Amino acid sequence: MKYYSFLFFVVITITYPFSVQEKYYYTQRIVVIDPAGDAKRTGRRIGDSFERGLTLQCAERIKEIVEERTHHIKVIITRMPGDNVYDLQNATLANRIADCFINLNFYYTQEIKPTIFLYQFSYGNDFASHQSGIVLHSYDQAYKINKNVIDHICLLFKKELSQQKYHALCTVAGPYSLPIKPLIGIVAPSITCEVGLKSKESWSYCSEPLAQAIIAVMEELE
Amino acid sequence: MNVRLYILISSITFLSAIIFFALYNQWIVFRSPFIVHHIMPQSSVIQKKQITLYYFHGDKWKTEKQDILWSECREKNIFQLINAWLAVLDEEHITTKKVMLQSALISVSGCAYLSFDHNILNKEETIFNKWMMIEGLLKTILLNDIAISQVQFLIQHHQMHDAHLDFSLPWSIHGFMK
Repeated sequence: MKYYSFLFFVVITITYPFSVQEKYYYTQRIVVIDPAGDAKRTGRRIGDSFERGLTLQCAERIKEIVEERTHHIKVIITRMPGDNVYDLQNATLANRIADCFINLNFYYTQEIKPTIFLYQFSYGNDFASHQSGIVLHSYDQAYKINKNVIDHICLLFKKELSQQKYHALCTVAGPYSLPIKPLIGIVAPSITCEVGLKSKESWSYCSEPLAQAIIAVMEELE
Repeated sequence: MNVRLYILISSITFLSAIIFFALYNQWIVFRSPFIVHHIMPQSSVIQKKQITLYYFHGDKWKTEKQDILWSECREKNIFQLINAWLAVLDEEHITTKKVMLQSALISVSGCAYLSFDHNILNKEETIFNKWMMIEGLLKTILLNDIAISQVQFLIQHHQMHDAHLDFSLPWSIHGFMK
């Protein structure tokens, strides 16, 4: 009996650190998805529909996929149908809770293989940002705080979307560094995706690759 | 005696009025001999110059050469250059409607304030195409040797707004192409 108790104790002692590691391996991450448009801004016309409705549907599908496949990533969508989004409202939300911010845009294209453009925020002069001590940044310079992480996740996004299995679906261009309005003032790693659609129904083809890219990026951030 | 006095006073008043009227209408001009006047030229040197206009169309950069009148005034040169560039975009159907540059001013720090009558960016276009439109404008200014460092885009003297690109701050004349 003593032998079995000892054996049980040994097994528990050895396996406990692994079980703890398994339990706490992933920290809870929050991804904020910002579908383009709002109640006042319809966005671009795609077929007989508008960009704002399609981006919202796609964001909801991405949320479903990500939350189905992982337990440590929570997806928050910045707006509901009929909501207005004011300037810097998304930046305020993202700066409070987000580990990653994704701005989603669609455009109409007749290309056989639509292009997904990737953008990160920049107002130029990125190299003059490395200062030690307490540094004050204006809202247009907020991206400099996590510049290296943003560069990294943009490349990861591109790598994920450029996989062989998506070659037939789309081509990926970028990441380009530009003063992208929806990303201004955001400190968390942020990226803008602009996806070409041949018809209003074709948004569904991009939800799977984008969701998979988000999962890969968040796991890489671990 | 009274009649002669009236005639004298009337004559003096009449002559004073004529002199005042002539001064008022600048028929008589007084010039002080102690102040030296320099005659400024009415206009600076104006000459014909060949310019190159750059624009992005069909996934590649295109150029077009034109002759315009080139003066020593940078504002005038930018005004003519950008309007020539906008005319080319209109001819090539890159812009959906005719856009004109209303005014151009250059600050002491070298920032050019360009005020258009309408938005030059089509809201249905991709961010990439809008960016290339702006890059074409910046490239046209830069490569035609107009010494400015930044460009602030305005529409009817107010800040230009776009859903995707931020124009709240001036853009560098070198743009964002690496």
